[in-house]
Amino acid sequence: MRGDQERIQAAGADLVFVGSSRPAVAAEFERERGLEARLLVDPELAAYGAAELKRSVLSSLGLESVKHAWRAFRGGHRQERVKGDPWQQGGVFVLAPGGEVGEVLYAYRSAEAGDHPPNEEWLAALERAPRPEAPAPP
Amino acid sequence: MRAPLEALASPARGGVCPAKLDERPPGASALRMNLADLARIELRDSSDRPQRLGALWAERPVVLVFLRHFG
Repeated sequence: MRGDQERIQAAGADLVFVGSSRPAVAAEFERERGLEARLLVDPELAAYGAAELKRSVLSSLGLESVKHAWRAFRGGHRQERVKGDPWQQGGVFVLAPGGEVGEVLYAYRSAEAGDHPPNEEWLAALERAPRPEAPAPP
Repeated sequence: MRAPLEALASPARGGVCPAKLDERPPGASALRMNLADLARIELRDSSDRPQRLGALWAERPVVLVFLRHFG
């Protein structure tokens, strides 16, 4: 996925992750994964709520999430202890400057655990966004 | 960086973006969110520093990924 990171940078954009845990857990996650992206924490789920992301027991334990988990397990991924709200689902948004508060170029709200958009989808939306202007030379 | 991005790449239903509104009318409402509410929210980063969300996309685009959990 190095190529994805390069495409994000080429679009003049930033990649920011939001998790539902505490700063100390995020710092540990950053160290373990060697993250180059910024990590924010939302233990009150305020941003998750404002983004209208799904939160329910069924979406975490339903049949579809079991199928996703089995697919991930066969792929070699092992689920560790959940650090955060276990019933909260995630999502991906591409947001850009524009208007008074910005604009939404892409939105994906996971329906259940393991439901993620193909990277190509949000990368394509990002690459259609107007490029930020480069600072004028001194 | 690698693991979270790879974790995002899986078969899925597809998101919603303006170019696809005509192709995917059922999902079109997904873009109509209250961005002002989201922009006002202040979160903490891994160093416990405050970050107002709206500042993230005030001057340049951002890919904002809400994780289900860390780990």
